[in-house]
Amino acid sequence: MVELTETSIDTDAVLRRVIHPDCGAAVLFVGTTRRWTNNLETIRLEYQAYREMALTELHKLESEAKAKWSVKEVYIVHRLGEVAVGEASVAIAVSSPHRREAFEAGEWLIDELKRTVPIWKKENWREQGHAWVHPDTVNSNVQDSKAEINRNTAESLATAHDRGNHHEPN
Amino acid sequence: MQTYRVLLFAGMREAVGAESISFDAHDVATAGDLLRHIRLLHPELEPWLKISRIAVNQSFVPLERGVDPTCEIALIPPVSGG
Repeated sequence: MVELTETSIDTDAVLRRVIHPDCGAAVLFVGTTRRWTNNLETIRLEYQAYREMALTELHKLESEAKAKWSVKEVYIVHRLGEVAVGEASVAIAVSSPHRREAFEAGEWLIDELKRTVPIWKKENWREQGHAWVHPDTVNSNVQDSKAEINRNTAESLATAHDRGNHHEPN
Repeated sequence: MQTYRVLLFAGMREAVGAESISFDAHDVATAGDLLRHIRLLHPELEPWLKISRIAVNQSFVPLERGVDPTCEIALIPPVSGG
């Protein structure tokens, strides 16, 4: 399941949706708006999507993850519009019979999402104005030299709901 | 003469002040031709054009891919979700 939403993400609900009786592990990744990037203070982020294509790409990621790993359920939700400091912009939950697959698939999913899904964030700084973020580019030519800072979503919380060690020795 | 519409996002949308651009052309066969027209008509988009990909009907395509006015065409600058 994949979803784009304009409202706050209920991360507990995202995790609950993947927990499955055939699985011993469920992993949740939550990306949140970080206040400080080096010495720049973020007030809020603003996300925009090419909605139809973003949903298509997210569905592709879900299918690929299920093909690459033995995962049972995948739930990806990305927030659009304004996201205040400390709030979640993205949540990814994965369940699998054993924990390793869920961890690996979850990490791959957030890496690929950031690389391929047509969603963009706009930084709003306290002192330095604002700029859309286009990673791996010379952003100083685009709008604002501060835009080169592109890792502004904190990868601050990863909760493992892991019962896998009941089933395997390690 | 045929009319092409190209969807814009993020910084490109702000630079132009619109969610899409439209133009008439009679010599567009490929995505690369489309890009050439956009370069001439919207020089203010140049900083993004050199780093963007083209999506046709919501899939990334190479510049040699054929396009026609019925396609949904979009310029996709480097993404920054997450």
